[in-house]
Amino acid sequence: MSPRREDRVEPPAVVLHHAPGAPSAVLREVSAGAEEEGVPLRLQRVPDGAAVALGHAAARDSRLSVGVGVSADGAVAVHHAQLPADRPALAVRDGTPADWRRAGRTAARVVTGLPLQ
Amino acid sequence: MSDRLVVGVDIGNSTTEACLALVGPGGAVTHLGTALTRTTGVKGTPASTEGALTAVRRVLADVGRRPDELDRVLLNEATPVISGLAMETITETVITESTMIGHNPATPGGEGLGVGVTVSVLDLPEHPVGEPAVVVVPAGWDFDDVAGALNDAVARGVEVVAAVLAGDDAVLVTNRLHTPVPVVDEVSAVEKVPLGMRAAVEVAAPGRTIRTLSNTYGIATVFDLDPDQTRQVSPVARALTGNRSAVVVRTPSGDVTDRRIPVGVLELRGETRTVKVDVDAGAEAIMAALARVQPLRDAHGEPGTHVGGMLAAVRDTMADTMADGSGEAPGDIAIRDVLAVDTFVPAEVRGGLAGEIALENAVGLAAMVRTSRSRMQAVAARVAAELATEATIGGVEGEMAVLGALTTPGVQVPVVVVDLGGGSTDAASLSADGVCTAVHVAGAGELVTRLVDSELALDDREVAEWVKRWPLAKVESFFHVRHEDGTVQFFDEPLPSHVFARVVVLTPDGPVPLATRRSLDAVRRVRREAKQRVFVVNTLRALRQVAPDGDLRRLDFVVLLGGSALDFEIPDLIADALAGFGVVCGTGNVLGDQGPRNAVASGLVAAYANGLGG
Repeated sequence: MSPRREDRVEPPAVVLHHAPGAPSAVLREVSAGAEEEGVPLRLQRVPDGAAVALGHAAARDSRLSVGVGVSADGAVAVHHAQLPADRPALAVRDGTPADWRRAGRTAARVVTGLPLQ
Repeated sequence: MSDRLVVGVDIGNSTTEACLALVGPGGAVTHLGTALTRTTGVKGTPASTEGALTAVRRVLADVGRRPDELDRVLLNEATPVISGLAMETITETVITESTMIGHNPATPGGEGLGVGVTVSVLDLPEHPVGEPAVVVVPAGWDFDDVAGALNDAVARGVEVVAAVLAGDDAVLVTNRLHTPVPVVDEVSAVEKVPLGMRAAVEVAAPGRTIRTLSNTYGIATVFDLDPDQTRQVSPVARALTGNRSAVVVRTPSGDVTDRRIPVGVLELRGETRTVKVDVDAGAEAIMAALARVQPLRDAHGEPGTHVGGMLAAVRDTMADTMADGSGEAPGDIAIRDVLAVDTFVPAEVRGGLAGEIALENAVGLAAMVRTSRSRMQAVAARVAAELATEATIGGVEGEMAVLGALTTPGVQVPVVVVDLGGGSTDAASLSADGVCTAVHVAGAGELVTRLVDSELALDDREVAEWVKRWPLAKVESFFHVRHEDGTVQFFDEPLPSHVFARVVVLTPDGPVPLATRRSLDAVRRVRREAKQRVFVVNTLRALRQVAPDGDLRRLDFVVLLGGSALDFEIPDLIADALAGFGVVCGTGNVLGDQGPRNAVASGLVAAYANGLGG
């Protein structure tokens, strides 16, 4: 059984789960998006998976309930732990660096309670 | 003699209503049903026949009666009233020579004040040591490269005091500097920042506003200005007040001006005299001029201005409406009332480098045109032919509205009805000795929509209409909203991402996000003040015209009618305003179950029954 959320000592952060082989350019821009908004982001490599599923798992793992999933093919999904698993807050496929930056900013803004666009 | 089946039909500015009833030989009335449809064309013109027929057929079908059972159709004598709206912006903020940047980006970087000389990041490697640098970075630069260039320059001995960026990465750059400095980002026209000039960049701590560049003497200190120059920069300081970040560049003759735009003259012709008033003098001056010429006979605006164009347009529309090819004169077409309202319009600042927005002053004007000629006889003839029954003009609109309003439980003569419509606000009073007086004043629901639209910079009439009509809420999570009164509502289904953290209008079809950075309270204030400035002001104006000696204290019962009386707050705003006069005021409930609707149609039936009963 996993420990209760409150028992963990990690500081609150948006959690990003990425598949092995997720493009580093995507990870860089997503991280930059969250950093510009001033919200901490913790990267974690996990076994392979689709972006939306990774994002939801990351959200459940985050003390802020917000997660980002990045798949091996560079797809990005921003998720909240309370949202249905198949309905992410934002999903980007075949995106540009600006889209990836926006995904990071969106994850941060779900935390800060600011409009997402 | 048996009971007669009659239908009263009220053709209003926006809706046409019908009231079906059986009238006994002694004048006893049995109400059978009511119907409502959109008015076709302008009320009182032959084009409005179609809507009248629809309403009659609908109410007959509702109760299972056939048109050939109808004994009579009763129509109201409706004077065609057309209203027009115009908005004149009377101030304009202009920045010359790129003196300042004051767009207030969401996430500036660093904090403090940096004063130096502007230099492009491209020229930074050659920048002389000993001259403090404010680095200007064009679009397309990556944050790592910018931070690298700044760190290199500092390592070389250059004092880098601040940076101005095109992209949205001020925090990213600041986080990578060995010595953090204030950084302002999202400056879209960064290439227009003059280089080689003295400049000051200020960023306040989160939750704070700038202290130096929003203070005239602060700018004077930074740039070592003499009293004359200080006087010139005072508008710059004022424009930057309330910002978290700002840039001021010292250019030889740069300035920020708050220019008044000449917008022409409004000429008000009264019974005995004519008064000219400058529109840019504001609403108060216009309404004071109007009060001096009362009663208004006609109004003209200076050609080439919005107001002149609008007044000419409503007059032309009325002339077109009344010209039916019969060659008859269109009658006396005149502007009989105007309502001026002070408003403001958020507009992009001319000469701004980053899409700065300034609140410009404007005057909104509603006008109402009437004609002396009525075409109701033509409408009646066509209704009679279509339904193969008798159709007559059963009474004048204002009187009929009073009769209908008297069916509201708890109301008695003397009474005043106020019809809160779309284009005009109408009042009619019935005194204890049976004298009926009616007035129409310009400005109603459409002007409210227009004010909401421009003051919130929505640029979308439909959304503005929703803001007017439904309450607001703030989306606080994917599953709950906080209503404008503070109550919280949870949803089973997650709310869509595009409404997250936004101020929304709760329409019956779901929450609609508003494209504004303003808080819920600010939007609510705009909405309520628009209603206040139009409906409360107009209700008081109309009541003063029908009250004995213009004294509101001598009114007894005031009944609110019309579509806008169904609004969730307008009746309360009016009741609040009238509370001090000891007036009984409320929304009508015609026939005890129709609310503020159907007053004129019911009144027509009542007038007919009174005639039979003697």
